[in-house]
Amino acid sequence: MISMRCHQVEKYLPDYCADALDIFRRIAIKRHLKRCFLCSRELEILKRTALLVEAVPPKMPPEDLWLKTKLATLNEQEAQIEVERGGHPSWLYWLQKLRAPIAISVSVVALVALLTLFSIKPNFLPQQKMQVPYNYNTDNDNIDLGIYFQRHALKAWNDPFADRASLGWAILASDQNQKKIEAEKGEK
Amino acid sequence: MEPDAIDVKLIERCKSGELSAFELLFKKYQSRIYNIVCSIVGDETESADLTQEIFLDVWRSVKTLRRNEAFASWLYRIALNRCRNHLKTKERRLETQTQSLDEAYEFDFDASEEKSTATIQIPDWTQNPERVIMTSELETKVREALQSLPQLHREVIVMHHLEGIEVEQIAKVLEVSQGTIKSRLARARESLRRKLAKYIER
Repeated sequence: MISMRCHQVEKYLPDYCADALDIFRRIAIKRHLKRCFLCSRELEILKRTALLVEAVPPKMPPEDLWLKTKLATLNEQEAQIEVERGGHPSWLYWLQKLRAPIAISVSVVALVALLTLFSIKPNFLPQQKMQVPYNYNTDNDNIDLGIYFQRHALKAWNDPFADRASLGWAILASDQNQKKIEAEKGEK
Repeated sequence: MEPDAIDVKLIERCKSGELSAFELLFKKYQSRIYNIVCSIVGDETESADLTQEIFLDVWRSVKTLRRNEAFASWLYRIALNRCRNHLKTKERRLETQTQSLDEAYEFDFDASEEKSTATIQIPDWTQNPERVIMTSELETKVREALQSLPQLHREVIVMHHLEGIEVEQIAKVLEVSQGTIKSRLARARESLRRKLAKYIER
């Protein structure tokens, strides 16, 4: 059987009081308490502490607490019924609730789409390496408008803000027109 | 402490949306929940609001309760979680407001005790040790001592000593072993014993 001294008992007394000790320690403390006045008094003080806490009177909740809770409950019930009826569709509720994340997501997607659009070089459009007739003489009265247009359009092609789709289409159209004119001239 | 047959029927009626059944449950448990919240949070106005929110939570999610017999434990768990969240939010708000508030927020029990010991009537343990005459000043001191405990210790002391909930049920509510609850009770009592020594040792 374990024999305990006062300082050991003192250490375990709160656990003894809360019945949190194993049986061997409990018996040892019980035996010690029978012959030790100081430790018995310490135990008594611990028990008084619990009694003091238990003696604290309960507080009364506010009288209107049920009324407030009932009101909140009824509001919630009404909202629920409204949703079931279709007054406020649930998707609208979620849309309102998640509007900030939705706005951020839409902005990010739009930004990515714009960046992608600027970086795309469609194959069907004329390449930037296309030869441009730079030796064209503008002083000549016989200005070939098709070539003139193509030259400026291809220069504008390198501008990052250029509408490449429209430019490409216009250059192609002009090129075809040019070929058509040349073919007509040849026939003549 | 577990709900009786009437409670089980009331919970069943609550699940089908009967507000009158919810009112009966509310009136049965409101005082206990309010007192637990009040002892943990320490502010009566906040406690009233929190109690209302706790019962609203109960109303909202009572349909998800599988075992009606476990209603009380479920209710206490909701209450404790609400209190914990509230205290966490409050602490965070205080931290962001100003750093200098930190010192003031930690309650200096010993300092306040020294100031006002003279006005407190010390209970006479020799006359009737089982029954303590609780004056309002002494009540304030005990409540302050409770507030100065760490949150985990405060929860078990409040539930066990103030509300008389058994250790077994507290263990179920907090989802820890009974040994842990007993150990927390022991540490909390030890701490309270030191803080309230002047009113006990006579």
